Amino acid sequence: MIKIRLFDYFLFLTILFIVSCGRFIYSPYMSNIKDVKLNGLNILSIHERESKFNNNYSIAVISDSHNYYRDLELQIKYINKNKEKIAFVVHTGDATDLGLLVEWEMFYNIIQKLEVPIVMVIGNHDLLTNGLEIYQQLFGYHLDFSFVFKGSNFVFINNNNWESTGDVPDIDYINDELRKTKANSILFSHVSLSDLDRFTKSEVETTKKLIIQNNVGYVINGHDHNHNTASFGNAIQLTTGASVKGYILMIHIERNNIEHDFIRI
Amino acid sequence: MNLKFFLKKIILLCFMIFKNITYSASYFKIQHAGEIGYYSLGLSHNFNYVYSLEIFHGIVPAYMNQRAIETVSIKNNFNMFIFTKERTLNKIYSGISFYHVKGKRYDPNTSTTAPNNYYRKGSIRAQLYLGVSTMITGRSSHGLYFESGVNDIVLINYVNNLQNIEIQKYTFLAVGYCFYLNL
Repeated sequence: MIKIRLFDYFLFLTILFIVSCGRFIYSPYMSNIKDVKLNGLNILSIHERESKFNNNYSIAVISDSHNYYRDLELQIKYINKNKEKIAFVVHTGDATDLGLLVEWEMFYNIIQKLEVPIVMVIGNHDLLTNGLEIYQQLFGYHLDFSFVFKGSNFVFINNNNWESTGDVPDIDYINDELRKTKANSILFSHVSLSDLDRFTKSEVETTKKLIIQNNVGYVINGHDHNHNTASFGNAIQLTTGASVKGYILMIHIERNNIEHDFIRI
Repeated sequence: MNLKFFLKKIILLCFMIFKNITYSASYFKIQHAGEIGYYSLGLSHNFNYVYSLEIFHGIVPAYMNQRAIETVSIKNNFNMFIFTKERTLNKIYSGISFYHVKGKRYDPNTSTTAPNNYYRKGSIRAQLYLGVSTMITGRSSHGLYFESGVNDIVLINYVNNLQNIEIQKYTFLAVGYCFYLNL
């Protein structure tokens, strides 16, 4: 007969406890994550939803969720509750603090609860450490992209110039995309287009000219954590505000008429 | 102060301590995972029955990631229970460790053109962990250990979002082998 002594039992339970929780993680700075390219996939599913909406629909905009997962989940609950009238969700960047794999995993696990397709613009914090590589696997290779939904042109750009290499923002790309259609155009970026800490006066003026020339109705950004309404050229400039502030920016579109409100959740 | 210079000084100091204090055991360790590399090599010194200090150098090879990751870590182990049974010495311990990931890209203040101190230090992480080790004692003493823990980011995010973060999904495991060095 095998005698199990208290010591053996205790040691066995401790080893079992330690081994049973967790997984072998080599480094939180790794950049291998599911290659899902959510932006591309979700743009397809946004187009599939086009027939569900008449010419009256809404877009939910959230931003700067960082590590405010509780607040992000509250926003997601609100969006899911109103999924019949929300065509899609836009996250205007900063899903992480340091662009670390574990932060992206936490964010991804929470946004998987969304019942409405989401597209995301990259934020300055998302570009830190190996964040760019993780974003490209999770959301897609292209940091500038656009699509047309119900005749409205939605353009998404990376304008995190301090954290990117090359010409950022890509003015030629913005110009080409905004010229594509004469209908409603909404431009999404992470950093405010009028941020004079990051951009020179002449850069701001160049972007402003583009906005005026192409008759852009709305420019929407994140980065600043308090929501705000201002103007940029002829466009209305909206700052989404961070998740922790407890608001969702709703854009209501009815044919050529666009309205917005910040909803307290 | 230059971080590289500071780390070199710490490592040198620790080696001097290892060399001069010979009354207690020192071990060579090989560890797999535990957030400090796919494999890492280290030295451990028991200062007394409660406290031991370990220094590790770990690597995640480039073929496992998009680029190699090199980590230097300092682990502080605190024994909670020690049992001896026949020729084995068994310990259950907790620990706190700090590690630094080498490379410019892991420090946001040098990898971006943002103004100085715009971002907080990104290359240094802390860990809290629980471990269990079993050593065969005798002329050649060697053994195995398991560790499980979380890093500072997981812990802070968990505390701030108790209902939304399942901590077990982000808990790391480590397994290692150690043998006695007669320094």
